[in-house]
Amino acid sequence: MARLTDLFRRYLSPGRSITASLLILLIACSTVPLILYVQFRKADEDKKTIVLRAAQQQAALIMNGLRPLIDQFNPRSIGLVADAVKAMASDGLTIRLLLHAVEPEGEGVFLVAAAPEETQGAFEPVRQKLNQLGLLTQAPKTCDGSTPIEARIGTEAGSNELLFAIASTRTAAGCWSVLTSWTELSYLETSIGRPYWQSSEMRLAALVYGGLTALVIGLFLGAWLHLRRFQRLAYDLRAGRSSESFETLNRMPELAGVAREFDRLIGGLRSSSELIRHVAEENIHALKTPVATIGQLIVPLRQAVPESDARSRDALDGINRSLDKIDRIIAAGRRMDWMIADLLDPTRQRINVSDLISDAVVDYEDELELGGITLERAITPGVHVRGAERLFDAIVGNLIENAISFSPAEGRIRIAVRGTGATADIVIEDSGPGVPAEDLERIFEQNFSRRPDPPPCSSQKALSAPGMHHFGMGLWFVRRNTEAMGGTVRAENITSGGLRVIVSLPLDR
Amino acid sequence: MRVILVDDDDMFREALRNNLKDAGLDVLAFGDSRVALEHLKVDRSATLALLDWKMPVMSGIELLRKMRQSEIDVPVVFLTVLGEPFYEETALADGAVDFIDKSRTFTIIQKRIEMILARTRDGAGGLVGDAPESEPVTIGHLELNPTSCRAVWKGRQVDLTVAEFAVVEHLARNAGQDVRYRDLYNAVRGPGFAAGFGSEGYRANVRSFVKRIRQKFRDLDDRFECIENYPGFGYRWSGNGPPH
Repeated sequence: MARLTDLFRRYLSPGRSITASLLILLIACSTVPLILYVQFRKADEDKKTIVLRAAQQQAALIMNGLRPLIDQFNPRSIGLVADAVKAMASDGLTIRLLLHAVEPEGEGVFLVAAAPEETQGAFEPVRQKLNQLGLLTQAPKTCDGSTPIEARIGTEAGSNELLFAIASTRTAAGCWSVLTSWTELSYLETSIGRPYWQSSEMRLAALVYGGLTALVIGLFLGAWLHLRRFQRLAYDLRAGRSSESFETLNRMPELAGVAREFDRLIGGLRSSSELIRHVAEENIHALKTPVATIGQLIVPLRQAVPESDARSRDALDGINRSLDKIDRIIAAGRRMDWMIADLLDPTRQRINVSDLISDAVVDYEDELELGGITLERAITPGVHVRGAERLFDAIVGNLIENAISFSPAEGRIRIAVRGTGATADIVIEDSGPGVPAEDLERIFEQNFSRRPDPPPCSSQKALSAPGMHHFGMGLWFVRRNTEAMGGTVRAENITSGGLRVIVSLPLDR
Repeated sequence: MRVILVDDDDMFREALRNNLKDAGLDVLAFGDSRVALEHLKVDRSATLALLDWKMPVMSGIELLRKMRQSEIDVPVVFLTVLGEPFYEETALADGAVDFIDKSRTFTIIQKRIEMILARTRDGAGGLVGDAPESEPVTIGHLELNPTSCRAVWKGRQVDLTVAEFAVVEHLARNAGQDVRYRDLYNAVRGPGFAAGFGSEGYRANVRSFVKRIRQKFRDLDDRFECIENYPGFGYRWSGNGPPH
């Protein structure tokens, strides 16, 4: 839960996290157009209402203008009516004068006159549309007043008409309707007869807005992807899989300074590491040569001292033992220096964990035998990780040493290695006293000790395995080295008694 | 048996030279590797060269390369304090026969030298203590040539020191049988030799040998598992590795 809260705080903190900013941007980019669309559509509705009302009035006026002629209508006056209709038409405006037959309802409508001129066949799609809208059945019923109509009808000529209004009146001949319509070109800017989002202004706005949004999101994503690439390179450098520099990887000029500084940092770490190795080597040379010389100088002394001179022989033995001890201390110091250098310089290699642990276990055979400790192994072969072998050796050595030192006489230690999902788990269980729950995390801290008494094996002289000469900071090394290799370590008490330490490292497949 | 000793540290060189002389060897010591090289070019009587690695002007490894360029084939043993595997691998790859830590006791250094000299004598057709053991051995993918101390695994040479070779040879000649720690240790140091200061010190020594040997085989073959351990007893060479 705490981890979730931490992740939430880290990734969703606006102003700090790109993820949070990108999320806010995405929300803004999807809500702002909706708000604007609603506002614009309202304005368009108002505009449409005015236009339709004007069209309705226009249809009513035309009907009034034609009224004297249709009152007197007879088959011979049809030419006069047609002329009058033509006189009233203008560019973009189509006028149709219709006469509704009584029967059959809705079907019997005749095009008496039209401007521009139109055949009955060309009128047919218009008639069908009017019929669909129910106007041909409705208009003859009341046959009074005018109504605006929102519709679009494609005609044979290919133009797209917007039907605006129908005005009807009744005479002795029947019910007459004047149908006015405008071509699409005349009212291109209106959304009459189609959803508002299909209007050209909305399309243009959507295009501009979409372009801008894509640009801004692209910028964010670009920066985010660059950071991801930096992260991947940093990981690869640490894993020893890449020798690339941040500067060559970077494509954003704004990040050039950051990349340069990262490269300098890596360079600094590498030279520090080289320096440590170099100094370690020089120190070894300087310290071990006199040790080796003393070792050689003692040889003639030993030959010269008679067997009967026990005191001198003991003194020579003491010198030899001391030399051996100094040699071990120098070796331990060297391991330490190289380990520090390995921590600084992320040089990593593929490590066969199964083999290394199998080998390491053998190193502790004498200690296990002396303590009467039974060792159980469950090592899955072929489990690999990527890391520095020295760091890993120190992890394993300290884990085994820790388990041995807390195991009672005739106790039991179990070592398991297995690949679990994406991690290699190294599990070591002892049959010691375990750790109080509140200290389970603290045992990995530097200088934290839970040893009230010397460990059971410390009285034995023959502790010769590498782990028994570690530097007294046991589990702290384990955690530090594990984390340096990109892994985690945790400890838990075993219900039946003892401690279980689990080191999880990323698997290298 | 003339031994050439090259080391720039005057005190160590003198002390070791005297000890080797006391052990009955004819030792010629040099503090400058260039002078040693010039001597080796004209005097081919040396049977072994002990070289320090880190020396001013010309390092031990450079001297070895120049010796080989001048067709001086005397067996070379590095006697150095540089313990990183890299140095040992480079030395063996360039033709050295052994790599010994300078701070080891004189007795150990002496044993290793004697072992190399004995093999050199065998190779030259001189003293052959146990004739069948100088014959090449082939066990599964392993080929051993005791005369040149060279081991080949699946057609590729494994760079083993003389002592490591002795361990592998002893295990391989007893393939399929458990070999005691003590027997393996005797194969390297000779019977009755005391190791370290603990009564069981030789075990740690053998384990450290086997660990290095395994690593060298695994560097060539990730699936190498022919050396099995029997806790508390020793090791066994298993032709096909343990069953999975």
